[in-house]
Amino acid sequence: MANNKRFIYTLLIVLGIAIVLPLVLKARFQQHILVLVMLYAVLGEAWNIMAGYAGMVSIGQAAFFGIGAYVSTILFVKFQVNPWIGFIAAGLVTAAFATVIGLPFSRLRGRYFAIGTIALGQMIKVVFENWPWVGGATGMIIDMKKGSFWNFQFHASKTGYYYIALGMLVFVVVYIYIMERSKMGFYFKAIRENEDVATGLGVNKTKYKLLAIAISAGITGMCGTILAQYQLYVEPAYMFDHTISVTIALIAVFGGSGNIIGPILGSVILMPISELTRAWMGSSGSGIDLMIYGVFIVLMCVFEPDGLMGIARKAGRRLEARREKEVAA
Amino acid sequence: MSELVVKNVTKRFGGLTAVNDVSFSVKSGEILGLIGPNGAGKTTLFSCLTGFHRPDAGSVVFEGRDIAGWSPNNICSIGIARTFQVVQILQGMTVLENVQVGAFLRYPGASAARDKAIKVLEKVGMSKRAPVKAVNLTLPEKKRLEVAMCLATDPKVLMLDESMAGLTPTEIQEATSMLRQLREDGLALIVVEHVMEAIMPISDRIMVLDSGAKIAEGTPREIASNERVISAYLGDKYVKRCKV
Repeated sequence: MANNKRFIYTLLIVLGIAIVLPLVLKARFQQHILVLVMLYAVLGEAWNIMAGYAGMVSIGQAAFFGIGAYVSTILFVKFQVNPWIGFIAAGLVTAAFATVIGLPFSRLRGRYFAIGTIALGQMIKVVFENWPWVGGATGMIIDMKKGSFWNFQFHASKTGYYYIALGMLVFVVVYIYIMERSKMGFYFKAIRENEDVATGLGVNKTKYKLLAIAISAGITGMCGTILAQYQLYVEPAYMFDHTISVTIALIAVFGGSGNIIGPILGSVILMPISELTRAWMGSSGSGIDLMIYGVFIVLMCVFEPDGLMGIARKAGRRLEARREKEVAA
Repeated sequence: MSELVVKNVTKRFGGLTAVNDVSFSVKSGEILGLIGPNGAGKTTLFSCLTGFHRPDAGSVVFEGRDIAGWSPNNICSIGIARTFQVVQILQGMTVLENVQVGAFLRYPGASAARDKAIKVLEKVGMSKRAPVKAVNLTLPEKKRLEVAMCLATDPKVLMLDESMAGLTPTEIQEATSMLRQLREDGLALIVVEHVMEAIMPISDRIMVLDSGAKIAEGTPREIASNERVISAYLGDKYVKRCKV
């Protein structure tokens, strides 16, 4: 229990730093990076629920992300609905969509599930590219409104988006913290470890897999709304970009999946690298960030499959052992 | 008092009839031993009873309901649990967490499930191993953990698939006394076992399968002297030689 308390205090300190950070880093580009770090931390956590805990590795999160972005944008552009309602609707619609898609998908195991999600991402993209009502391949532009919290638009500074994403991250982290200790969390992990054992112990695997997919997709869809409001336009090539799916998975794996901190850590380290290389190298450097990612991931897979959190845990254990030795001596 | 009644269960895989028209019953406070040579269909029969396979014919009635073809989780929730021949546990989780997953079925609250899990671990004598990751256990410990996971779901019928294979004689002693205790608690046990020293003394009845069909059922003493059983295990020649 003492461990739990220390963990919560650490999280609160990190939260404090996160709140203050945009007041220190004021340059537009720095704030852009901050927004992306936050957004991808949430996306990584959402992926974590589905893949890290319930063991369904998805490489098609962009499908949910894009649908969320389109839902709020369609509501706003076509029906003049406030983006905040669109934000909630994005979560609900994406979760509902994921549940329907999840029914056949949850029967796939392991890598076949991953391959299926890749196909899903591509298919949804093609659908939106050929749907004239939502602007086809050119997408839709979100009208500029006065920048305010109510309008979900901020023009003078990007901090508004940052704090919305931060709020979501706090919400998601608290949710996962509670889930980890509840029946749902245990059942997710049981399904990840061994589906047959789980069902043999009374776990309704279809129900819990759909739950994991729906929750993960809902959060991802809401992130889509944040990015749509941030860019003020949506287009299939951008919102359903396969790179988004890959980046989400990489961030979580790099940081360490199956625990709360991993995806946050991954995002904090990888997103600035990707944005900075893009800025330094210009268009000639496009793809360099992904190459750097690749190197990182290969190193991780070879040396520490549990990600950064695995390294941290090992270091912690070594420290403890040393301390015990000192006490004994 | 509950009874599991199996009638004419058949399971075919393509041209192979793995379980052929098997009927039997087992009730609370009874240990039914299930033996037979390799490939006799013991494990397939288990899978048919617990929902991992859907029987092609026949009925499995438990407490007035025909559960043939139900999903494994529903069968588990009405009180029938099984272990696997090749040990199946949640490798990446601790011993306590493994048992907790089972306990959540009847105790949805986290702390209640934890208490239940601790109680079950005490019962099977694994309290000391609670914080260990399951993957790091020895094989006998893993088998015992598997039983604990089943017990945490509060089963009325427990099916054990070779839980004693690979144990030392002392460990077999411990295991059999645990099974006797479970019988006294009112469980119905179906035990598949190749270790005759273990299964003969504890079984109330023994059923023998060969090539998917039931060839004998009776008390351990009757089974030990049954000609068909001996020929199934040792071949016809052996029976003839005995007679001479």
